[in-house]
Amino acid sequence: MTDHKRILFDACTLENFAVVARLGLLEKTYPNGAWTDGTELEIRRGSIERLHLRTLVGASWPGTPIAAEDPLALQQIDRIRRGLGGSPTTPTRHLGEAQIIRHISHVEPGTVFATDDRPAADFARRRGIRVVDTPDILRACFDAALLECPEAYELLREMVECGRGVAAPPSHWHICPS
Amino acid sequence: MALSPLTLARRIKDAVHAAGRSQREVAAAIGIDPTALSKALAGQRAFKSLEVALIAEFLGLSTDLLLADDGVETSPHPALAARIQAGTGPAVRQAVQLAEQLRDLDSLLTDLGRPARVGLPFPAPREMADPVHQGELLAKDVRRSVGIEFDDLPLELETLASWIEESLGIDVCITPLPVGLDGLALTSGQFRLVLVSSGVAATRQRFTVGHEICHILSGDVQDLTVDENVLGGRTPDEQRANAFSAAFLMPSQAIQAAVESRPLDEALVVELLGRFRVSLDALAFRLHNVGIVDATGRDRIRAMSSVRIALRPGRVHDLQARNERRAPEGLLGRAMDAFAVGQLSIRALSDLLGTDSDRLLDELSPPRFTSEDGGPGESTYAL
Repeated sequence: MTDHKRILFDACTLENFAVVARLGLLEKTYPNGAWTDGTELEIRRGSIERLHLRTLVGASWPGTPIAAEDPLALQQIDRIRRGLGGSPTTPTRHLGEAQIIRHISHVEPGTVFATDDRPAADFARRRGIRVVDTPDILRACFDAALLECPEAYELLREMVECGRGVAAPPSHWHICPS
Repeated sequence: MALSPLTLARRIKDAVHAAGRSQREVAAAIGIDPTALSKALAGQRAFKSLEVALIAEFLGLSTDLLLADDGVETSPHPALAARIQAGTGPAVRQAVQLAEQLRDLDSLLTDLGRPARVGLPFPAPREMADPVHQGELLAKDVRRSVGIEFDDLPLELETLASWIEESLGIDVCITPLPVGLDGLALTSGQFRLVLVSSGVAATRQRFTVGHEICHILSGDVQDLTVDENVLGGRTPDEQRANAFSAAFLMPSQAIQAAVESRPLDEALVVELLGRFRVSLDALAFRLHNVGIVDATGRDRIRAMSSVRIALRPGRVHDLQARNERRAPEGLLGRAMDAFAVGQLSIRALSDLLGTDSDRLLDELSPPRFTSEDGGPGESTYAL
């Protein structure tokens, strides 16, 4: 079962799956997954030193990055970005998350935000945006029979072992309860 | 008036010119075709948010100024840090960096419709040649305008800071800094901030608070005034600020009434120190300046070093206040309001409070995993 709901991915969540070479899981689970040009930039810049990100550069999924052009949108994005902790003099810091939150708030309400950045997730939830993180996605992969138990949980542990900042429950129960 | 595409294009064009860069260089730096940049600068297509961010990054521009509404003054104010002279110590650099962060937060909150409270209009310093007399009179005028005349100020530094924020509309930030800076004053629009180092005794912090308030009320602060050593200042502005602080903390009438028909002995000095919570030096000079003692009497007081003086009331607090941290309350309140409705993330709050964002989030939001949904054990967060 795939989730045809529109979902916008933050760079950290994409990287969690890239680091364990399982981006295909995201594509299968969320064929309507998308990203923004700020997220794409973060991935592209990161790929210089973190080779696992190179599979995302120029990939057909998650498609052409969403870009905002209207001056009002640019102002809204910058205020969200600064609200997320970026400063006026660090213009690309938190840009991807800000673009996603602005896009969901003003262009595609109801779209889901996928992020493992806790402050950004909390910020988005306070604006009424539905947020999922890597454990939620792995649970969805399990529900869609793309992963078995305890494979889904082990994948999460593997991400942790790779140094990724993911929320990790103490047992498989929260990810694959069988 | 809303930001128009033409205004944005003009600002970027001006910034490219001011930076001495060619359009081709800028296009290469941000990874787009020179023709695409040229069209955007000519208003034939709109700039994307990523392009604007990359241009700002490449040229070192401030996004809040670049993206300000039409008609808003956008001449780039220099970064505060740029005003710091070479060879300046770490305390000054750290304090100015913190002041910049606080200014940026105020600027964001203002953009989000949460401006600083408009402070009450205060009397301007009276026109006169003598800065010391000017500071004295300003302190008297300010005290009168907030209705305290000769009353004592709050004893504890924290309570004093809150009172200043409430009564004068000036935010007070107290923070540990390396040795080498007493405080700074910052004004930015309606936002007025006093930042004081807690690396010294509470009595000195208290005096510095008064000193910096004077800089703000006197209009000495164009955007930032840094005081590495408040007591060492010899310029008229510094003399005025010191005179203000002494008179603000120790009104002459209050001192006169306290010493009236009493011998100025060690017991009275201890009483005054406990009451005004100033240093022995500050009290001695004040007693001299209001004409209660002569220079010899002043120096006699300065030399007092008995156990009684050392253990005067407030001494423990004086020591405890070292390295304390206090976020500016007005700014913190505005930030909390913005946080609650999703205008500000936990990062901004944790930066303001000098604490870890994950821990603060743990306090303010429900746990990610609980045992109630069937799973055993506590939640963890791996980094």
